[in-house]
Amino acid sequence: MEARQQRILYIDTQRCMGCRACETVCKLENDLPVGPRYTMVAEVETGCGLTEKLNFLPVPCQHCGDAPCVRACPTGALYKRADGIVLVEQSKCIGCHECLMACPFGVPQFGANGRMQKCTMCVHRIDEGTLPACAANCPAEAILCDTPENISKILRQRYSDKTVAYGPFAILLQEAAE
Amino acid sequence: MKRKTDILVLGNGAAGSSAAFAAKKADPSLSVLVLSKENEPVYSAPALPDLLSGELTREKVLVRTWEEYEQDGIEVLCAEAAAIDPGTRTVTLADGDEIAYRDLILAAGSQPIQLRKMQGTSLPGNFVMKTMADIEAIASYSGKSAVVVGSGAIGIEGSMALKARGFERVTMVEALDWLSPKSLDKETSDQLKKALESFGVEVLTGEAVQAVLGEKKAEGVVTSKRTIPCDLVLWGIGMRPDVQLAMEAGIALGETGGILVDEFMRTSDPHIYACGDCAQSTDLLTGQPALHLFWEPAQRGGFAAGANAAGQEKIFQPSAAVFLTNKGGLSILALGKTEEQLAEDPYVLQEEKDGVFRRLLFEDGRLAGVQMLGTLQDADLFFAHIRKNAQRRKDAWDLTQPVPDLERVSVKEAIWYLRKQRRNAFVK
Amino acid sequence: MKRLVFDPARCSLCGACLAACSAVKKGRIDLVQSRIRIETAGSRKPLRAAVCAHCEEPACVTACMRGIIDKGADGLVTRRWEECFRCAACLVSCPVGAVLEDTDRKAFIACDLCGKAESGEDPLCVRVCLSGALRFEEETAASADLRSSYALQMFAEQPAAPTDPTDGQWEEIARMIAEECGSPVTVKELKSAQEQLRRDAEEGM
Repeated sequence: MEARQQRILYIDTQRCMGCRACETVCKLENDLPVGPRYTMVAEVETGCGLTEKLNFLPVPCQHCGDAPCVRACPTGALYKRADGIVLVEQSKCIGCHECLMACPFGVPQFGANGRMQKCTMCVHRIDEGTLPACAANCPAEAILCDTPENISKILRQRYSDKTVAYGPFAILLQEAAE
Repeated sequence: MKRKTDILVLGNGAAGSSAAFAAKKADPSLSVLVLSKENEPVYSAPALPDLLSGELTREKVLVRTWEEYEQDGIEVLCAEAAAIDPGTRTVTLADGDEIAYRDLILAAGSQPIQLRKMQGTSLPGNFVMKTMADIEAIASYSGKSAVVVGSGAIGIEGSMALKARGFERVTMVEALDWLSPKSLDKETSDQLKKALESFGVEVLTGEAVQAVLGEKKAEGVVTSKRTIPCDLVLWGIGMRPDVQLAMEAGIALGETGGILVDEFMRTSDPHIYACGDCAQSTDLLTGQPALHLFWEPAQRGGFAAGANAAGQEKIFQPSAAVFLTNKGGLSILALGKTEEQLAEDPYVLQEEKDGVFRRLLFEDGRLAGVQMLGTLQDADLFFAHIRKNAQRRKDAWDLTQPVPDLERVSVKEAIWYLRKQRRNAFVK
Repeated sequence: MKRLVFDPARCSLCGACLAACSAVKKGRIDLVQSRIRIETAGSRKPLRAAVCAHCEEPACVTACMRGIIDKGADGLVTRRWEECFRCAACLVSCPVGAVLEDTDRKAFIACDLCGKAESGEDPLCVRVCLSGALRFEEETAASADLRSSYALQMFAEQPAAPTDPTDGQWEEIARMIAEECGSPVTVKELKSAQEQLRRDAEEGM
């Protein structure tokens, strides 16, 4: 197989401000009823007193390279498409929940029909050449969808932009505060 | 007399009854009529050997009772269909009555293969084991010694049941070189032979039955090597799908001789569905057309056919051939390929310990088949691996991995590795 | 419906759930007869729990050669085990390995959630799991829990490795089991069950 350069969803936690726009557009884009959440913004409190802070982490599917859900699925309903997107063939799913137990991120969801469904990286949009709904609609541009190579480029650019704007010393101060 | 029904089901076995109940469940407003050759509610054909051995009573092999049919509003007519006319959507019964249907479900099942032309096979004392009536016939026939021809599930379970019934001498005769050659390798067969002999069943392989002796009733069997005196001959040499009516009605048959159906169990006629033993299915592991004459696909196929005939869209997922016997202290399980069927880079791991025999077959380092005797442990693990290794898709990443150092691992270590693989946990 | 959810990262292989299950269902501590099984790769490495998942489309229901396994409208998979003739088809077809042979009843059985599906109360196996590895949750809650604990790992410190129950906790577990099954259970019995579990895990059983 050729070099496996797959798209991933990268979350820049320094930018996420917990607005939950991604959760909302995901529900709209995928027409999800009450219950299944393809992505969820988890909140974690850290520090105390002056350093107390609320952190946010949107958790969509990580579309893992060696996907534990695909490994765990006993019927072969889950598969990793040639471009790396982990998808489920619902007609093969028997709703045994093995994927939920295997996934370290709690991504697998179960709707009214009891069969597994999950974040598809908005595969219909990817196939059209556009970004997934969460990445396209994140006001803080905290969600990036690209190959690791390109994401690395974006992050380096972001770092150098900050350095130029505030100077390295300001960044060190900011990091120390965190 | 011409009557009308929305759904007409031919056959009241696992497939037919499941189809009838599923159709009614999917749309309770439909009228559902089942035609059954036997005047029994659906019973468990795989449990018949236990009925023969005396371990189960008649009531205990029934899957549903007549009350359940009544409760769900399913009508059963004890009659035999003689012809199907797909043009006018009518079924003609043997007594001339006609039934008009909206959708027809064929679940006629299969018939045991009987060698009518062989000498002596129509004498009293020749039996098959397919219906409740067959069991009753064997039970009411007196005898002390029996020859069982064939070593498939019926042969093995039939011999054990006859022995348990009190037959002093039970001899199993298999024409091919070892037992159940379609499902088992020679090594497994040798172990099975030992197990059967410990239960008091004599096992002869590589001997073809050539004739049944006797004037008025069966008195012995002539094989290619000897003559075996006996009172009773039980034939378990295979089954053939019952497709006579479908064929006459012009419904397309598949290459295996079963009725051709799509994933929704539809035949070539849009108003006719087929399920169970009479329908051809696809093998989950090979992807090739196959006849799976088992309970599980029949029941599941029935549910799909019934729901679809009632207007739903339910896909029938292919099944895999499973050779399973768990009776009277003998458990046998065979899944997936046999050694003969292994393709690239075959490797076999085998172990016999404390009455437990395990044989794991690998293809390209990946589990492709398993044969076990005396245990059913880890069946889920093996099944999941075999089925996923066989179903690897070309349009997806292959996340299956070969078991490393197969030449150096024991059966136990290989099982450990398979367990870890299922949870990608390779950390020591 | 709520289901049993197992998180191997929090399991210390103390064996309390297995002991509780067999004590409630069999009246004695017998790990082999527990309806929940922890699959391991070594004495300290739990991989997964094999327990009935009450699948949406249960393979056992169609495999059962006597039609005695039903999927109820409430989602629960139930067995009329008195009618079982032990064909083992459910055991072989179960994708999660949740079926076992009850040697006293002479029938194949699986977890029935101790009848707690309707009320949603925690069954005993969950209550005795003091490390929180075994939970009784709806899928959505289980998913949210897993997502939150992943986030916690990202921002806060790594969670500590699960530890064995303390002596006080063992007594608490013994008390809970004894209360539920009506016969006394000693800490010693529980600890020897744990030892056996670890031994079996080491041997790869």
